[in-house]
Amino acid sequence: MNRFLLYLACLCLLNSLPAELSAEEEAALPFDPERIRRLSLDGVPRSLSIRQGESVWIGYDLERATVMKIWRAPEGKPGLIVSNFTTRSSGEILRKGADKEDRWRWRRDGEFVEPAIRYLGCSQREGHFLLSWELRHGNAILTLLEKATFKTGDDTAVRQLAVEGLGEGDELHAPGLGTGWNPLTTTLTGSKWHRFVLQP
Amino acid sequence: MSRPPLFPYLLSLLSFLACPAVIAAEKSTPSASLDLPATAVFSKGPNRFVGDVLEITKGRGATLGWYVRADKEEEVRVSIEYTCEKPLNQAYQLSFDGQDRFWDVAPTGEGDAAWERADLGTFRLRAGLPVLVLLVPPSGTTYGHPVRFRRLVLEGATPGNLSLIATPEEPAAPDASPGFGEKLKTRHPGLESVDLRNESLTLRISGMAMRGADELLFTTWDGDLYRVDLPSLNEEGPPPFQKIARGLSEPMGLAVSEGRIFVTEKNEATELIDGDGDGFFETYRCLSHAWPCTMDYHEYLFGAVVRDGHLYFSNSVGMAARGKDNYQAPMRGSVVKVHLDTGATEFIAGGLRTPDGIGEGPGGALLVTDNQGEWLPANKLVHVTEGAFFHFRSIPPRHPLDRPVATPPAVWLPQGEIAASPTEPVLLPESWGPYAGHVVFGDSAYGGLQRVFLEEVGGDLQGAVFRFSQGYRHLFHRFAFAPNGDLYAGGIARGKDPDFIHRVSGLTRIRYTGGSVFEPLAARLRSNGLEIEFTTPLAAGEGWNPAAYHLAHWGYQATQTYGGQKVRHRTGGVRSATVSADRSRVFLELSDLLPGEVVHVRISPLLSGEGGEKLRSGELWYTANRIPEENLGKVLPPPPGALAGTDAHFRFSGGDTGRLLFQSYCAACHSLDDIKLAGPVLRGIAGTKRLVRDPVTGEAREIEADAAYLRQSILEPNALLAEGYPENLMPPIGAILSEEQIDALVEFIIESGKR
Repeated sequence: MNRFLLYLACLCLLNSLPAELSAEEEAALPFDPERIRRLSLDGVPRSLSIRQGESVWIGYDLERATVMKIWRAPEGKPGLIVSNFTTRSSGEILRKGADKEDRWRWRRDGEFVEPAIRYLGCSQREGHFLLSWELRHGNAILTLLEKATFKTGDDTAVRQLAVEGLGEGDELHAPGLGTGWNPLTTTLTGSKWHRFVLQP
Repeated sequence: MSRPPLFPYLLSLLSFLACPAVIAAEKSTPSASLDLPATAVFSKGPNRFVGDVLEITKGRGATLGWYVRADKEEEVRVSIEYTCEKPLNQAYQLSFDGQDRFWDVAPTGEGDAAWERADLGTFRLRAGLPVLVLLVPPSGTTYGHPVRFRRLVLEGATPGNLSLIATPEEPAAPDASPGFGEKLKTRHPGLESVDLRNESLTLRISGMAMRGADELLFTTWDGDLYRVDLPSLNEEGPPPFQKIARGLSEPMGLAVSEGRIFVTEKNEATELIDGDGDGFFETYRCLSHAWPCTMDYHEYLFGAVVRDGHLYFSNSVGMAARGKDNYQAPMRGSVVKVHLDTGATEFIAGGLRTPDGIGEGPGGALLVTDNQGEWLPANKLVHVTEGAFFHFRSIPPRHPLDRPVATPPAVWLPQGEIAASPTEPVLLPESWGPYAGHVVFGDSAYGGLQRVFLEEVGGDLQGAVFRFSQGYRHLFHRFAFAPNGDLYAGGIARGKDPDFIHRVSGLTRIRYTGGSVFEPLAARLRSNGLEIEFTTPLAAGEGWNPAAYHLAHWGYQATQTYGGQKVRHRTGGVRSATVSADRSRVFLELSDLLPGEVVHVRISPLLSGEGGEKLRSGELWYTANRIPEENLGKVLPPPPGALAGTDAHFRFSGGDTGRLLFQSYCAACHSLDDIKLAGPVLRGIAGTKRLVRDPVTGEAREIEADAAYLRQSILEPNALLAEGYPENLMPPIGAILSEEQIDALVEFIIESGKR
């Protein structure tokens, strides 16, 4: 057997042996690798992947606060291949990520500006992961939230976005939304949650 | 007070030594210039000669060098004769007695008509000393077209002043035994340890911290966070480790501060938050990621120290681009300071390479260990100060703190002699008796614990490293002290062998028992020598004989490719030895102290303590960055009969070169028994069939492991990779060995393998 495969097999065997946590306790631990992987995806160093439903995965570029890719795992196979602390997506691409030129735009006091982006973290909540970013322009700061639900019920991608700190009449325009999503808009306003469903 | 006249003495000594070796000075027709021909380089790495021309295509393992000498100090202009068909993507390093310049090699065209001479600048040449001149190709890179090189030319102003001299011979070392020129084999008698293994788990421990008095937390490289109640470790059965977080990305540091938990992951500093209080962590708050990163496997954030409301850690440089252009993402190799609440990020020091350990030393000094390699001719323990630059460089744009003269380490940790991959430094607490206030660090290749004593000289920390303890199963990486003084040590391993990884990874408890040991405890530099303190007094009348101390001195030369080396390596210089009234200290009066050098002391194993104890170890390496002024050690005449005795304190049998080289450069990764380490077992290798892989084509083929194969692997480890092992795992140690040393090493491996 190839030595590398042997190594992987041994590591898998070692790590599958009983630890101190019961299976129930292990399952109760947040950040189940079957649901989320915080290792880099497809060669983007600061990225993570979240599985929605049974087989749909969404990959996030954390530095840009954008979706890198949405894909469906091959039937009966994993949608992520893990190797040497990196991951690679596997399956049918449902949606490519936003172009590099397609960035967050903040209409502030009637003018469009491009905010600086800082990833703030990831939190597991009941039925979803909550990702957050700081969007800054000058001294003005917004908090962008994305709720990545892992119990969608249906097998398509759903994005839920909200923004805190927008001024009266201000808007935030999201990269990667619009065409192919329902509703068709890219605009976030107020502080309410906006729900977008990827169209088949 | 004036300094003792040490320097003139040294110069005359070196001049005397060097004179017979003058090989090129043509005194009958003295010239002010000196040719350094390519044919006279002492190391060419894997490159080849065509006639008198050296064709350089490979940078990894190539340091082309000469030794020159000037009778009097003068400025010389350096030029080079070369051809180069096409532009190179990186510069050559020219190092002249430690002064570095970078040469952007301009293309000359093709053929013999293309020879050109390029001006490389002017340098100041010291008088009397053998001066190392190095021409160092870009690290790791292989070019499809050679730089063809015939000679360097040094042009001074004084006829006959410059000489090309033979490469100084490596001074003879006394015969070695464990603790005396050789790694210890056993645990320190003042320590007891318990291997806290849970055989069902492979725990590559990457971060450790106490949460409260009784709870130990640790992370694993594989991304989990565990807890264990220390009182439960006294019970029967495997340790009840409990996983409380998972999904971390290659965490390499863990800190707890006021109940808050911080982890340094591969690409971000993270706070773990248990918002619902169930004991598990559901929020990974990104504290900072304010530095660029790439997909390089070797980019990590190492360690975690919290103080003054900030998290401190280091970040390593990438390695994957070594064979291409040596690119580094900006701000790699830094010490990073992040505000715990705002995430505001500062880069307080730069020039680090693989700084796999950060900790606090005496007086709250922030200490970092770093691993030997490009720009690091030996491992280091550095004292981090604001704005420090520790010498690792990449191609431009360089680190904003980069400057021509690097900040020296507080303590050099010579490769293979006392360290190979040093890890976290920790300060020993009061409960550790005479060792309190000292620093110990682990080593993920050399193993065991090494101990450092630091002192302040001229406002900076410097000091000595001592052998301390071996005899552990785990290769220690991270540490945490319990309030009772127990040291919890976590082991780690890299490589691809699961048996090896499982064996050396895991948790050990180390307890200081107070057992008495006779060994050197501390070393303090004086204006005129070195004072050594012992753990117990010497036997009456012992220690006065200067012949009981074998000294070596050297400096280091950093190079942009792997293979920086010792320079000005010489032995001797003990004028006298004076034992203190309480017999716990010996002052060695030295004639040969130079700032910026390492002083290595071997103490005779014949010395005994007042109770007749034998020395457990007799070795230290002091880094004399600064020599204190007006702090003279007291010199007294020996008492009657103190110099008597017929036993030789040191033997010089010779013929031990291969074994010592193997120990220094190979033993950390290759065993000569059947114990697997990070590299292939070499027992019985000669004459066997080995499967090797061409790193370019990926094709595997079988070869016979003979002397030529071993030699090739030493010179160019990537050329014939043993199947199953990755490129660049093994450093090109051939770059720092002479032909004779490589011969001795190959012979030792072959002969040992037959046993």
